[in-house]
Amino acid sequence: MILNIVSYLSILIFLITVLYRFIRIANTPAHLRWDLYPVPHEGFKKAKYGGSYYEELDWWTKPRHVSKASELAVMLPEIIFLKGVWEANRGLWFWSWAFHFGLYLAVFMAALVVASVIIGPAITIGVILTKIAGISTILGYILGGIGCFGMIFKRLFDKKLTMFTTAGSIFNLVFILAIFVTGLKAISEVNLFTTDQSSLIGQMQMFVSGLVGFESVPLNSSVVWHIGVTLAFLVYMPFTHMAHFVLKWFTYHGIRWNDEPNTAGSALEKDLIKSLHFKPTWAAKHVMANGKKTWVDIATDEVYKDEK
Amino acid sequence: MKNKKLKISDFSKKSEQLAHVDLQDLTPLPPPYDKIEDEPVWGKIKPEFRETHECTLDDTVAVGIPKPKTPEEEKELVDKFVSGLQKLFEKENNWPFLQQLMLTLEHCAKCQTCVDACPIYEASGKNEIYRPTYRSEIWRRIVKKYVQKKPFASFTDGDIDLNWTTVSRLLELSYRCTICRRCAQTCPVGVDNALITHELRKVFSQEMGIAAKEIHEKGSMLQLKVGSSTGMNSEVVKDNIDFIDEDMTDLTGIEVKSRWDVQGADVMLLHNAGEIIAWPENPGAFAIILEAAGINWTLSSETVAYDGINYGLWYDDTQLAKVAIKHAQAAQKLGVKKIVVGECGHAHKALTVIADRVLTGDLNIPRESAMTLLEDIVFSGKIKFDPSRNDFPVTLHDPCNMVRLMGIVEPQRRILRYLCPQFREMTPHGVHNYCCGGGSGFAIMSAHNFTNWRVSVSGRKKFKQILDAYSDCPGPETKKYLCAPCSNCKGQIRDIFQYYNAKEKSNLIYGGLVELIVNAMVDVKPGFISWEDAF
Repeated sequence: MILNIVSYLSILIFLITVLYRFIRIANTPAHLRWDLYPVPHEGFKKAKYGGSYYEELDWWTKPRHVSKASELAVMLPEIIFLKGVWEANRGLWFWSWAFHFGLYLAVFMAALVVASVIIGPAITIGVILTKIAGISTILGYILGGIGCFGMIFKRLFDKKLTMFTTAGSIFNLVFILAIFVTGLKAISEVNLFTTDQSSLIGQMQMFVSGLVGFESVPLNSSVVWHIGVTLAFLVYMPFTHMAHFVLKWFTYHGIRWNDEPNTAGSALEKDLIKSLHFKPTWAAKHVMANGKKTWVDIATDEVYKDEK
Repeated sequence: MKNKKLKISDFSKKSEQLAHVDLQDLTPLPPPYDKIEDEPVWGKIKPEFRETHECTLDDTVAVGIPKPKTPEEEKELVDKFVSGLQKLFEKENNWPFLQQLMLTLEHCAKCQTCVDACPIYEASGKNEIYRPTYRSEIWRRIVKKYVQKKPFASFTDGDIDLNWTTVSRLLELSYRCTICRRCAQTCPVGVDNALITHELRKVFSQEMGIAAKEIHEKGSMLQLKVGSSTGMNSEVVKDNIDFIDEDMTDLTGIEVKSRWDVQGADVMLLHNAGEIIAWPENPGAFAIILEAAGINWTLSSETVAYDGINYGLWYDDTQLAKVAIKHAQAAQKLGVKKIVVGECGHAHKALTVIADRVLTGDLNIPRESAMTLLEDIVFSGKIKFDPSRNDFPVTLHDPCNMVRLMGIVEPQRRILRYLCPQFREMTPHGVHNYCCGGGSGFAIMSAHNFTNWRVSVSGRKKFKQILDAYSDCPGPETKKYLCAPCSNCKGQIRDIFQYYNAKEKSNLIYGGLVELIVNAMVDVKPGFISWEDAF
């Protein structure tokens, strides 16, 4: 039962922390534009060379086209294959891709386990999901483990990275490596490819069923270790830069690809007007802030009025 | 100090000079510029200046503030710096960039994917202090340890000592990046290390009142006081435009008369006033084209509004807002239908994109690039062209602000493909271009030996790109033209060409887009572009 309680708490802390970080960024005021091209939602044709609606005469009189398909065409290769790292940092690419893809497969396995428990592991679809989960697990853990090793090696010995390697960055990688290693150890001690309760996936299914039904279930000790390390990581991860798996949404959609023009009477304009009425306290003389003046006051005040 | 052994912790340790630029380390240029012994010798910072001013970062100095006289004064400045950093994370003080900055602070994976994208880092021979992540790593460590006071920050994020040496070097280091944002373009997470340069400059300016003299005191402050960073008031600018009109009339055989303060005009044209002083043929060519196309256009003689520059873009949000509002107010007063920004990249970005979220209500007057208007005119059939007049090799420089940061890529290219039979691209080009090396204000900064640095280091990659574009005709026997539709880029390119004597060695000249358009106009006397008169 202790494992169940720890699991509830860990998942709760993970969800709350991720949500908190998401909301914290979402609640920052409307900001100035800082877009960077190519902006893929300009459509396939323009995205190919990085064009924008500013290329059109009297652009404000024309309907704005936002292509989600074109965005997706950029996002998928980036998420699945780390295209950006492939193009700009080839030496790191394989390790980084293996590391990330291993994590994806591990998450995929967890989703399949939950799905098979809901569907019922014994019925045909449940059996298929269980088998896919088994394959996903072994592939993911091996790939992720290799990626972790490679990344740790690079962080410690690659001259491009060593200056920026902190104890924290090694700790993070070792932590993730521990998930893969304990997972592989559990796999080596239980039967992977059967769909009964003696397999790793079967044990995971029992664990998930136990969580759903508030029941304590007997698990192999190596599986308990594996689950324990994973839960600890779940609690730790949202406090680190690794939360980029969620917050990347803002760096791309909120900033780099945010080319929404400000139009009269729009919701954006209303938000901006609120921000323009904040009262800054910047101390330099030329800013002329005193904590009472708003940004509007400051921006419209005459810098040299005393001399006129 | 040997640059290759540089550590993050060295940044805070007092020494005469942290890093050195060795000309032998610089990336080679193509012949005949390939001999390091032919590189101009860098000027030295005067010992008496070094004695009294902060210049311990590298071999040059961009800001050079006076050294504090006492430890108390040092502490006061360090405290002010921390107070400024705190304000960067307060919505009242930094709503314009709070979200971008929080994400950039918290999500860098330190993977170094961005570093090779930086033309300064690469051209310097990978000098560590110019690595885009070196500056940002120091900034992140300071913020986490001294501003956020995060527990175990030294363990999780790395340690750093914060003292006057750190702060004064960061000030200088914030002027060793052109904010071209090539690094940001390659970051898989979407982190923007160039933004950190921008925000650091803001802390120094908005909190401590410190900025490069050329962009603040002689730049935005002078513009707000007199009307233009060139020092021209509205009477002087009108006189100068009159002279330009007369010269253009003589040169082209077409009566040229620029228009001022036309109420209700369709277009208010906004030049970088530097053009009027340094490249008068540019505003002249604009006038010729707009008149020939029958556009109802005007210039504004309102203070500030005859100079499209907005240096606040590079270092100070409050200055940016003040200037942008003046520009919009002038257009509002004239009741024009739209503002068209001339050949100035940062003016494009400042007024069209950044100020879009400052100008609300009636001040939100439509703004567009001259590139699109020019494209419309060129292909409208209103003007007859003879492209054979431009039958010389032409390549195009993409100003970062207009292209990578605004997505205006094709209009200028369509014009060049039509009017210049020997047009060729640089590699890479478009949104993946390299900065001219004069971005973020560098082009107008030349105190001490800063020109040496910005030409031979920050402008090196661009010069190599330009030369490579003419690899089929490198010698002086072929006349070559570099089209740079941006005033600041032209200023930097002028200095690069002079520094390396490119006119004599390669018969290479530079200019804007409108000059090429006018040069191809059938109604204009041939020879508007002249290699003989170009310096």
